[in-house]
Amino acid sequence: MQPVDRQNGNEQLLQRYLLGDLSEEEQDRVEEAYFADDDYLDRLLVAEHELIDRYLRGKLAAAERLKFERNYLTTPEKRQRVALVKQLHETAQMQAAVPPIVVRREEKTTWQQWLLAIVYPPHPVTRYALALGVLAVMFGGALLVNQTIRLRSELKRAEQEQAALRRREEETRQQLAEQQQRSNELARALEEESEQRRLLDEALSRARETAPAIVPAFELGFGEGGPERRTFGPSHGVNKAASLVIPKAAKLVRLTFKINQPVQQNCSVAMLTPDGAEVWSRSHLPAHATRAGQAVTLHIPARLLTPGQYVFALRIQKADGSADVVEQYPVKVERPGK
Amino acid sequence: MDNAPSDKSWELTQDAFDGLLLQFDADRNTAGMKYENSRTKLVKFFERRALPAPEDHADQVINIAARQLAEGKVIENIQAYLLAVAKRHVLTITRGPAMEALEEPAALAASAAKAPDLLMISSEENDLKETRLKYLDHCLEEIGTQQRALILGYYQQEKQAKIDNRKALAESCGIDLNALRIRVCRIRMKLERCVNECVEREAGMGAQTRR
Repeated sequence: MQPVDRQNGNEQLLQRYLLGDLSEEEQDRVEEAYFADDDYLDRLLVAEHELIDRYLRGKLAAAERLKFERNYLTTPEKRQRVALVKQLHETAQMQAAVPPIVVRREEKTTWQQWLLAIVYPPHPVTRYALALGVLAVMFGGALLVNQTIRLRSELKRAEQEQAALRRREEETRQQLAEQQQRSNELARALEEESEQRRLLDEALSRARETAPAIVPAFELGFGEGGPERRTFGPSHGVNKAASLVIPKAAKLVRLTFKINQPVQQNCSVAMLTPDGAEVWSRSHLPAHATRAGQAVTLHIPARLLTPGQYVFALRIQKADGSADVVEQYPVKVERPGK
Repeated sequence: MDNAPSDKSWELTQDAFDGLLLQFDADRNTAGMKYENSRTKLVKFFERRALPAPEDHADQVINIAARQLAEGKVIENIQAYLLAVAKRHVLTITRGPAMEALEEPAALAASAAKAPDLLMISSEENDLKETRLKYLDHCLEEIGTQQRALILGYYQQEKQAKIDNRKALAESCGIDLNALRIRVCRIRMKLERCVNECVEREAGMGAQTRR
């Protein structure tokens, strides 16, 4: 940097150059200087600027002012330049009424400063706005988290309720299937009963057509009875067969079997030969109460009771379809006149 | 010095301009800055001689140098060469094309031959002045906050307050007072260029509308 005096001297020389106040040799030297040296060009530009500034502020001496107007304001370009600077003066003076302008130093911004400016903005209003923004985001975030937790809880409860509903539906379906199975069994039993009843009705009908109804009845397992009643108990180790004398005109025989143990379920009765071959059987017979206890009654076509030894086996039907033999009644069938 | 080319149809090509830039510096950015400075020097040179349209004269001198280089002329000192061509160019204008070999449009010669009428501002120039001032606000916006604050701050206040204000400005920029004056001067030139461009653009649009 030049000393101030030399700098001022140069500036005066340059302003004289601009005002056309130098000799031809001096002018050549100045031009050679600023063509050779860019710094000297800067000085020339500053000198011109200051000259205009001084002219506009009325700081030029009368002779200088005259030279300025005669030798400098010679072209439209220069006059426009002066007008521009004058306008800048006026704009600046108008702005001077507002708080002074503070020019920040032009420095390169590092990435750390850039980051800091984002996190901690230099302007207080921006800082408050950023803080409010952060608070708003935090509040919104908390609301969102709370809502998410509530929704998850509701979803879990809904899933549990749905699972319970599925379980109840499955149970209902099973109950329905069981009911359906029982209903089918009952329908089957009803059908068999209807079939038996139809057969009996047919037999009775035929009997009524041919002869007066003669239905001998026998009670088995009740002890001694009247003359027409051949009463005898179940075997129970006593291998004594009861005699069933079937009248010649009889078409149907009624047999009543006493049961020596309480029975809740239906029973079945099978007529067997001594060697165990089944001649006839009937199921779904309900036990009924008599004066001497429970008994099962059935009607059997008389034509089946041909003379000979037989055993009536009374069975109790279980739920799974199997049957247990609970009583055996050996009989001897006689047919007078045959 | 060699005579400059007389072919007026020659136009500056990209290759010729690249060759000229290379003459200023091998680095293209540095060469660009040196080119701008050289053009400013030529403008100041022609302004000093009170020639109208000094920028056009500066461009003509640059074209001559670029063409010489493109045609294989070896120039050792480009700045000295430009100054020499500029001086010869002035002679051509003031004495007429017949006396010198340097090319110069007749219109420029004619306009230069007129003696400047001091402080006589025509109504056309007055209108232009109004237009230019209209664009100053726009250009102050264009240059950015810091430069705007700097140049307006520089012109604020009077007397001692002005001196103190400029010292404070220089301090806030981290530069000395002289550097501040250079910086403000460059900003003022930038504004001047911006306003000129705006005026030229408006003139171009006006011409299109008239067509």
